[in-house]
Amino acid sequence: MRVVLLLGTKKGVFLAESDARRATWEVCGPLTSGTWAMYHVGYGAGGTIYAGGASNWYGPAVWRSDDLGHSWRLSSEGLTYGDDGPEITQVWRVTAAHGALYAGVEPAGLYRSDDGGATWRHVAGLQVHPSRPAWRPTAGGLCLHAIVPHPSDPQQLWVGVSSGGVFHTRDGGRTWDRCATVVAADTVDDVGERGGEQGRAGAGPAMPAELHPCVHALALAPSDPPAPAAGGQGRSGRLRLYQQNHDGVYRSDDGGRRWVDVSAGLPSRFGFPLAVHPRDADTLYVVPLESDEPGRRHVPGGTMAVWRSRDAGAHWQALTHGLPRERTSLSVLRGALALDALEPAGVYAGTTTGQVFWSADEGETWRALPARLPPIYSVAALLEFNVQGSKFKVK
Amino acid sequence: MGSRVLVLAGTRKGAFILESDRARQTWEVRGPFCEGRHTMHVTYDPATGALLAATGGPGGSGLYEGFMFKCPECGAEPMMPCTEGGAPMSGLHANRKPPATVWRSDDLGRTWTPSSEGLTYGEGGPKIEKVWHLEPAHGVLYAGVEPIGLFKSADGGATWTHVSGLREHPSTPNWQGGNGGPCLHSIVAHPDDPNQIWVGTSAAGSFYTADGGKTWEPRNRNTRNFDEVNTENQVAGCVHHLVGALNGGTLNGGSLLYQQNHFGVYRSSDGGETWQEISAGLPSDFGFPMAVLPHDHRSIYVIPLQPDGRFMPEGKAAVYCSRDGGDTWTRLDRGLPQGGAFCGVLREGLAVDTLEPAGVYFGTNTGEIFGSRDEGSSWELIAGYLPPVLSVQVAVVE
Repeated sequence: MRVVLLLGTKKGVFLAESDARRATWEVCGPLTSGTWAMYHVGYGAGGTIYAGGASNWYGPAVWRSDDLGHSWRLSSEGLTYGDDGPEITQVWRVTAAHGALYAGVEPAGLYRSDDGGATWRHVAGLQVHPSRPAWRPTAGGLCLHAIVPHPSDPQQLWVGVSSGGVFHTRDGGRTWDRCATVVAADTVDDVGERGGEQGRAGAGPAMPAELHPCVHALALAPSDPPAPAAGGQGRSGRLRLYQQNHDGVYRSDDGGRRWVDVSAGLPSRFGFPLAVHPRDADTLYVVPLESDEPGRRHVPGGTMAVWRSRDAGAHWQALTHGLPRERTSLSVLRGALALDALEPAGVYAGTTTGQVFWSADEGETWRALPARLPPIYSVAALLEFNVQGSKFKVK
Repeated sequence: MGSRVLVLAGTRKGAFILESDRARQTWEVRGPFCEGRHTMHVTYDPATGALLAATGGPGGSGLYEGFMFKCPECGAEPMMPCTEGGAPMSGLHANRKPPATVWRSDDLGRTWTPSSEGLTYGEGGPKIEKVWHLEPAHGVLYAGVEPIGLFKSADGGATWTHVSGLREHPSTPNWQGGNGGPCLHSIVAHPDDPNQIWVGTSAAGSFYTADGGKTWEPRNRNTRNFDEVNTENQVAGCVHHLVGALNGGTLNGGSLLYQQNHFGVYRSSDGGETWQEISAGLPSDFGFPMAVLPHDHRSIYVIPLQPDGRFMPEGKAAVYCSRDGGDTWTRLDRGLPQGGAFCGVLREGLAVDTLEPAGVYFGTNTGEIFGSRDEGSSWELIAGYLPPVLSVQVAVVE
């Protein structure tokens, strides 16, 4: 079993390859032109690689490779708001789901392709959401950067807009609900019965009515393992989501309707990425930053740390073994933290200064890839298992 | 003879100081200074002992960094768009970028005093986005800014006046910017004659004044744009870095200059009136920084980059040195990473010190500073995990 890291950088796509032991890595790139800023690289069925980005000359586009990066096609056909609309400046996310392909762009909007990325059409329903006039650009612009498909229902999708919030559709994108309700943690188990308002009534002081609209990362946890007592249904029968936003880390156990704050125990509420374990819905990883102030968007105290919770956010542990300590200015962006699906899971964090720190033991020990890369925007791990055919060799 | 060696680094998140003694074997890092702002250049004025730093433009991770704060100009609350006459501006939060500022420290970095006073083109003029370069000379301080222009301070950086002659040049309406914006990034002062100054811009080429900045002439003859040679000395050219070798460094009686531009490395033996390309022997004619040894005007250093991606060719880091003014080049890579080095070095990112043998230093966009204490024969990493490095200078101080 081999594993390939897909790295989206300010200067094109880079790949790093290893075997299942993940002891040594070979890095190559840029596989797309170095003049393209690739905000996201992911993969779909059969191991097709998709990259979203833009260049100063060409503009935004989605790139596609069916042969592990040896050859690429790109298209931006249909990636437009029309002659009267704003110009699309960047593709932030490309996500495959149920045979379709979705792209999140800047200024914030969602596009869908049903022909593998050759042509795109606007999922316009999101633009008529009543909250749309209140969306605001942030340090990264006004972008739709998170796309989370439902595990089984093609009509359902969650997206994250910075700064606008998390939105959920049940009808393939025609109508959207904004997922912004915060409830107290001690009400979450029976919140389904009592309802959100009652839950919040018992929350104590200073409970915000709404989530901070600037969502930084959004992730779906793997489905609950079947509980025999529940007749084979998942433990809760509900879907669990996590998010890191501008003001904390939150968990929802009901598909985004209600969120609880799980930031306690972290050194800072501010950070960008969040990643969930591929098999354990209670295990998640974040990289808190010292502060949102200019010049202080680096790891707290300068010590590089990935923080892990094994209990759905109730407790957190700093993972630092092998990572640089003190006086660093390291920072990890929203797309640049990922896990692979091996056992034990590998964890990967790419920095804005081009280092990739990796762990082959779920975060217990870390090392750095032997490479100095352009600023890293996204990391994803592709396994040989995901790829059709026998050719699985990058170089 | 100074006993402390300071490597001054400007980064995307503030200024840093690396300090060593004359042995230059171990380094201590201090910083960040300048409030963690985008620091384009940090330099040392040997005449006054002051450190000077230039900040401006976006800070930290990108554009609109001031978004989380109340706008100092229009008063808009955090997370709300800047307004003008009550209406949202088209360029949201443009005003929340910190102004271009020059910082001065008289205690080698412990305390800093900022000033932006006079760094303006006045009412109706374009806003000054950044100070790109600071150059002390003949008791005054010069600042090169974006959009292209030159400023001067007679009080150590507290107040600035526009050296307006340059922007009165008839070619001004046609000035273009490069990828980094239209900037004046290089200033070469004549060591004996305060009236003679050369400046390098991106991308209106180089200019020269012999009257203290009142009138300027282009200095681009025989430089190249793609394959087209500028035989007519037109106002054109994406100069990446212009350096002088003027301290006793005259070749055939004329003033010796070098430049790295978008299309090659050049030498001029006549104060920039004509240029001769000296790129032969380099792996790429593209690169940004350039440096000359202070005690040997024929010893020059460049860092060629591959144009697509602007990083070390094939991911193998190397500095190239010529000991004969660019006629022949030697690759210097001992101790530098020879694989996976997809890092770049910007125009201010390479510097030499005044010791013998000279120290050579360069900083990368991956937040690393490499140093050599033997004029480039061997290298080691002297600081890492910094923010992306925008500039490196060296001072040898008491």
